[in-house]
Amino acid sequence: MENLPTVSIIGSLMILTFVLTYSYFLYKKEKFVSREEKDLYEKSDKVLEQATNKAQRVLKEAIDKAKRMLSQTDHFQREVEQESRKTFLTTSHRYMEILDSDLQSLKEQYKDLFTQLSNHAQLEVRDTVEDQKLSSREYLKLKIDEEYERTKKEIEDYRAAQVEKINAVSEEIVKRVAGEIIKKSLSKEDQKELILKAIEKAQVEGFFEEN
Amino acid sequence: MNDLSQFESLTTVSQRDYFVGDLDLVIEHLYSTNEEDTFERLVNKYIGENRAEELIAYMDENKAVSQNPKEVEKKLMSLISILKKLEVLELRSMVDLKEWEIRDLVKKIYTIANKRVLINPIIDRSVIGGAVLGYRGKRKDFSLAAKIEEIFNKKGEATGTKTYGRI
Repeated sequence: MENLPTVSIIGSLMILTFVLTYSYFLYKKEKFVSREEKDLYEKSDKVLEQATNKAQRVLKEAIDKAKRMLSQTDHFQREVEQESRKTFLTTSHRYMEILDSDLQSLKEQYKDLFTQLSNHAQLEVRDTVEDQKLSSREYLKLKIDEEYERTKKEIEDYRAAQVEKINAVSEEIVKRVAGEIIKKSLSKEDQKELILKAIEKAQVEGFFEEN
Repeated sequence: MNDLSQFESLTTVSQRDYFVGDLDLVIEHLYSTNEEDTFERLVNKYIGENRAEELIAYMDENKAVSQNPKEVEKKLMSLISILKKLEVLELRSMVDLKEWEIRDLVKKIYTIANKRVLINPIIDRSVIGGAVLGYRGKRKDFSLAAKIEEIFNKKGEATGTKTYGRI
């Protein structure tokens, strides 16, 4: 039992030795892996750099080519525009000349036509006015005659009606006056006598006879 | 004058109507239980003095027994019927004729036409003079107004002017 600590120490030392040894080997291995990884990274960076350079070169060539094409296109477009402009100006100038000529001709024709029409219209208007003057005069005379006759008849009718009224009123007055005079001039005896005479006359005329 | 000779003073329609009303009253009281109500008393009570005398004379003339109410009623009803059947002469004149003047006219008509008539006198100042007569639905204008109208009409026909109605 007295050897137990020694054994323990020896054992511990052995374990410690083992651990240290293992750790050393681990460290070595790790270092090897790091170096390998570093090489791999360097290689890939190099490849990437080469690819980038190549891509840039291709892109540059493409841009240059495009610029060249664009330049050629602009030039062509300018040529077309110039040609079109020239053609348009020439054509328009020619048409303008034709149009001016036609317009001048048309103007002359219209002028002649207008002069003819104007003269004709003047003559027609003069004739119409003369006709209208004549017919208006005749119409006016006819209307005046009609109006005169109508008014004359109205006056005559009115006069006749008034005369008739005056006659009627006069006659009425005369009858009333006559009646009043007779009434006043007749005594009661006269009235009775007239009544008796009326009865006698009625008898003579068969008034009391049976029907 | 016929059956009604006793009623000389009965000459107008209004008198006749008044008299008929009185006769109705007498008939109404003929069967009174009061012994004092004799026919004469009833007549004198309900009928005017002159007309009462005429009625009693008429009853005597026609031998109506005054003590027998039924016979008296029969006779009175007969009288009413005769009175209502009397002919009426409408006399339109300007004057207001007195009763006696109308009686003279009735006599005159009876004399000349042998007709007992009642007169219906109407005062109309437009007649001026004379009379307008109406009898049995007929009408005859014997007035001075008609004469004047006739004169104006003839004058109008002669001159070609019209006349305008009656005065």
